Order: sequence, then C-alpha cells, then structure tokens
Amino acid sequence: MGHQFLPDRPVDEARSAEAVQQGGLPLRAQRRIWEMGQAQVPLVTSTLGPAETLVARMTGLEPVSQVMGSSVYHVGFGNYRSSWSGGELQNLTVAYEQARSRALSRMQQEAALLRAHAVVDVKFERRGYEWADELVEFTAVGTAVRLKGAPPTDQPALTLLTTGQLWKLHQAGYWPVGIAMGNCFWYEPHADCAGEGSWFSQELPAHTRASTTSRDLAVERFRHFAHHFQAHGVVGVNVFRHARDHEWDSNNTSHTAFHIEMVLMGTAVVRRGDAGPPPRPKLVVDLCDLVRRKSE
Amino acid sequence: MANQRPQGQQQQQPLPQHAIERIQGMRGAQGQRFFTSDLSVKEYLLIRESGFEAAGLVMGSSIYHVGYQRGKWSQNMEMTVLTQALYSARELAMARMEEEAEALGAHGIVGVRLDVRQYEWGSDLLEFVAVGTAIYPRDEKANWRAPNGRAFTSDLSGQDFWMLLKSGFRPVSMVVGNCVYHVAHQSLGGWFKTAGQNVEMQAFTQALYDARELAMERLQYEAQSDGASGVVGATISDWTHGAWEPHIIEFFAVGTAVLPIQTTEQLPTPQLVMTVDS
Repeated sequence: MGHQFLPDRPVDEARSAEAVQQGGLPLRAQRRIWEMGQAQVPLVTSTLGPAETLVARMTGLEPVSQVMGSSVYHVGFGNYRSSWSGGELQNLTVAYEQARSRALSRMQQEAALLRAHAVVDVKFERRGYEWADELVEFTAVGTAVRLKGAPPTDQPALTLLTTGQLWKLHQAGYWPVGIAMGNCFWYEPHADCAGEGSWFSQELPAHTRASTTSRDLAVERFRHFAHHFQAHGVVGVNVFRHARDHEWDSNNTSHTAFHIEMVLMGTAVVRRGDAGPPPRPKLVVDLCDLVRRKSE
Repeated sequence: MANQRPQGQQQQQPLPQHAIERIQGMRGAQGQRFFTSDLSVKEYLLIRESGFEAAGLVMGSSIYHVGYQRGKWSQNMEMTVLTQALYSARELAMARMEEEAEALGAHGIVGVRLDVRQYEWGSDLLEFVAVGTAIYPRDEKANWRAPNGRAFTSDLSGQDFWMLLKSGFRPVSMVVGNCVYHVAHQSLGGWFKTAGQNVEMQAFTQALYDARELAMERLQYEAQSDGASGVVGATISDWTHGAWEPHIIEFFAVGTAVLPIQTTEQLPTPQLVMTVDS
C-alpha cells in the first residue's frame, strides 16, 4: 500500500466560523468540494454500493460525490415552573426543527456547489455525546447525483430513498422534490392518574390529550412543509414517537408528568408530466427463500 | 506519544513463520490447491461466476500502543499524533494481509473487514485486524492487480463484487481516511450565555464537520493516489476509545476505489418483480 498521510491544511478559522454562523459550510468542507471540481482526473465518491450505482446509471443519474451536513444544537428544557399548566414546549420544537433544517441545508449546499440536481440515499441521524447531555447533533449523509440533460439548480432535491426505490418511484410516474418534516414536543405536568389503585380500567385524559394534540400539530406542520414543495404526496414517511412519564415532588406530594415528542419525516414527490402508465410487475417465486425456510 | 515507526521499515519484516507455513499449505506442493475462505455459499458461487477462484483466507494484524497526546483542552483540534498512529496501524494490518495474498499468488482480496480490538490486558493497546478472502482469475493471462502491481483490496461482498464487474468496473483498493479530533471542553463563557436558550453551538458544529471532512478528504486522497476514478460504498462512522476521554473521537471513512474496465457486455436491465411467496 504505502499510502502517504495527508496532513491537515490550515484554513482561516475566523472566516470558517462566520460561515457556520450564517448556516453555511465550514471552509474545509467548501475546499474539499471545490478541489473535487478542480481535479485533473475527476474522482467520484459515493455511498452507493455497486448494485445501487448500476440502478442509478440506468436511470440517468450520475453519482458525483458523497455529501454531508451537520448541526450541533443546545437543547435544554429551560425553566418550566410547576404552576405552568402544560402544553407545547415551543423552544424545543423550534430548536430541533432548526437543527434538522441546518444539517439538511448544509448537505444541500455541498450538493449545490457540485452542481448536482439531487441527493439520494440520505441517511439522517440524531446523536448525543457522552460529554454534553444538552447537546444534540443531526447529521445527514448522502450521495449527490446529476441528472443527464437537466438544467442547473441551486436547490438540489433531497430524498431519503435509495436509488432502487427512486427507480421504482420513477417507473410509477413520480419524482422527489425534497424531504418534508414536522415535529412537536409536548409536556403535561399534571398527568396523575385519578383513580390510581382502582380496579377499573380507564382512559388517562392528560396522556390522551398530549398524545393526540402533539400528533396533530406535527402532522399539520408536516403537511405544511410538503405544500411548500408543491408536492402531490409524501412517500416513505417515518413516524418517530418518544413518550415518557416522570415523577416530580411538590409540597410532599408526588406528581406524574408526561412528556412526548413526535417527528414525521418523508420524501415529498410530484407527478411527472411525461409519465406513461406504470409497468406491471413480473411475478416470481424466490427459490432461495423457500429453501431457507424449509431448512429452518 | 504513540509508538510510531517509519512505515517502510516494518513492511519489510517477513511474515510470521506460521503464516508462511499456512500459506504454503494452501498453495499445495503438487499443484493441488486447497483453500479456506469466509465467503458464504452464494458469494463463493458469484466469485466463480465472475471467473475467479478462491485462493485462501488472508489476514494481517498490527498491535499499536495508542498513547496519550497532550492537547489544549479549551480548543477544538485534531489530535494529529493519534490520527497518524491509528492510520499507520491500519495501513500495516492491510499491508500484511496483502503480503499473504501475494504469497498465495492472488490478484485481489474481497470481503475485507477492518476491525479494531481492545484487550483487557492492555488498555492502551489497540489491535487492528484486516481479514478477507484472496482470489485469483482462472484465466492465467488476465491481470486483475491494481495499477501499482499489488493485489487489489475491496470491502465488497461477493454479490457486490459480481455486480461491480457486471456494471463495468473493477476494484482497485480499499481506501480509508481518519481523523482523531478533540472537541473543546465547554467553552464556559459561551455556554452560560446560551444556557437558557436553544441555539446552534457553532463551534461544535464546525469541529465535528471539520473532522468528518478531513477523514473524507484523506479517503479521496488515497483513491486519487491509487489512480482510481471513483469510490463506491463510502461510509463514515465514529467511535471513541475507552482509554481516551470522551471528548476525543475518531472519525473513520472507508470505501472501495474502482476503475472502469473495457467491457462489451450490455448493462443488465433490472425488472420489476413481485415475489409470490411472501
């Protein structure tokens, strides 16, 4: 092998920080992308495996480069008093929404610098770090692709779909326009169960209220987001719901509080004008699977 | 300080005696080859279908003492000594694996896995292990080695390898890039100012972003110096070593660098199918 190690080359850190502050890309990221465009022998990097690459090429998608975006946010509960009657934690909702948007936007900016038309196979992750429990990082990693013969755009379309799924979507007469999302954090400080210890099964009204209202709000925002793209629909929607109870004390009485987070995320699509009727799938029997099932 | 030796010096060390014996056994004395492999049956079939035969399971290992690097804890910075130590350790493990493949007369290695292991008996020690299956073409006149004359390496599975050849590319080398980064301990002034509000922590965004970009840049640099035209299946991950403090993170990028081949075969056309038996 004998590869040489490429040391870091310094950049103007102050200017880099300024770019990040404005929601832009750090200079090292800009440099990597710029140098890829300048290379004598162009190099294509991609998160796609051989099969996915093949499907991409057959669909007229030309992989250009792996692209990524990230944003670290401070997300704290803030000071919510126990006298507060509950409702949406708007600060949190907005913070998570902005962090997601910034990560996606930075990935989109990398793709735009590469003169790409879309980013496919986007893996969107949320992570926390051991050293700071009030920090959350969102990262988006995908492959920027160019569409043969398409006009340049400064807003490449983002999609969570793999190229295989994209091909099927294309066959069905649709095309992605962007990633739509909607979220909501809701907090009910008084979610005590009125008939605790009773034999009767009963509804927990505070829990139900929190659950339905937060879902409605998230869905409404999600739909609004999709409308913004003038989408005809959203495919591959992921619903993330995280709910938990926690106990708190006041005047020697213990109370139950209920906390819920709802997130919806999917790929907004539009109908293609030139689409014919979708092809009929061929029916096959997968012998490999049958054999395996028998031997199990 | 990491225990680092110039690379050329270590690479020329011969393989351990047991490795040489094992490899000679697989080459066979009277032209009777015998191979071991970690390929699944499907993978093995597709490797043969692509015109290759398995030569044997090959591996390389390198145990590195990953020491402590003093840093300015208030600053986001790359831990260059650690980055280079981990980078060289992987290079060494890969180089030894390639040496085994060379000794087997193989033209390449598929399904390479690069693992890091930590041991109880040495918390500062990391073992880097590269394992894969060496293969050679049935056609004796064919040459599938990388442009630099060495065996190609690739982390692709047998299925992916078959698909890669079918679509008109061949693997050149498994390329990696890394960056060990120290994320500043809370820059307290800035932290308290924002304690009540939820805002982007720009310094952290920039730090983690830079670290990933550096890892990717190094991966690209390797691919370019190997004369490749592309990298498929690039992934980027992060982990932290138990003996380091949690503010130190390694970002690691890996993928397979490829080159186009002359092929007369048409691209296979996928068909829309629906399995009846699910």
